[in-house]
Amino acid sequence: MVTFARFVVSSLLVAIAALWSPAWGSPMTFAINSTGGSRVTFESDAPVENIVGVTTSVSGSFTTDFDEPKKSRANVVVDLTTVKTGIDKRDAHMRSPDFLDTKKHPNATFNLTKIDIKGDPRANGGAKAVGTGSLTIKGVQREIQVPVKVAFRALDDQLKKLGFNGDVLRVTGDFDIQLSDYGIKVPGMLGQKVSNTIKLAVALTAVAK
Amino acid sequence: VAAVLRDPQTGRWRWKPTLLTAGLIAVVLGPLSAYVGYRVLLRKNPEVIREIEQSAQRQQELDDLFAEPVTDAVPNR
Repeated sequence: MVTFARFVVSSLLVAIAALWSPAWGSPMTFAINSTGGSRVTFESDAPVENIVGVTTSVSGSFTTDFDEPKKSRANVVVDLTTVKTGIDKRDAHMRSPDFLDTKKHPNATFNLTKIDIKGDPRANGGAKAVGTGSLTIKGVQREIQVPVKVAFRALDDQLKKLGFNGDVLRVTGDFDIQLSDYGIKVPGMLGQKVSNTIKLAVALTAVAK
Repeated sequence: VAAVLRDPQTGRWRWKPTLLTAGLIAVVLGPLSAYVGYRVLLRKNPEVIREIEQSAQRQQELDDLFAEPVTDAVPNR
């Protein structure tokens, strides 16, 4: 009888532990990997010159529940002081008060408030989604919609080979912004060399905490 | 060109500045100096170019990996 009671109690404890386990649909948090796994590209395609600026200094996190992906939240911080075009003088001018003014506003931030996702990020090839959130550049905040692809991959040998030590969520997408929307005037010196429309290509790689 | 002449009496070459010479110098040296200045000002930093290429290569590796079929689709926690 005592043995049976022990069995029942231990079974209950195991069941309770299993129910509390994060594997049962609780949100997962992923930290954006800034050591070469993430990259943001800014492209200006003006009549005179095509300029591409790149940074890998991206931080932030994603919180998602794969069973209820609509509740996902994200916070992304891009360090604008590290954006490089390959030409030092041009980079310095880009960071000046005339343009991005990175001394006052070193970061661009995006806060996801809503996501419309079609499919399961755990499926092969990931899932397409449209994220809505606020993008802040140079202190000006605007709501934007960003089409992205979200893909999850559980830790495996391939990820380990690339230096990861946990499950990975990868978010990629391209979208345009208008510099004038963020109070950035194309400086006279650069004139025709910078377009008001900037194409952003975002590739974010986040590791499960 | 017309400003550099050979003196018919002494047979020496002599320099005779003219407006045309000044014009020719301006036409040649003006754009040349502007081009050199532009190149110096917008000199590419090879180290940064290498960094950018490496980050692009890293992204390509990740893109390729995430395009592959996933064998273990269960969160590994």
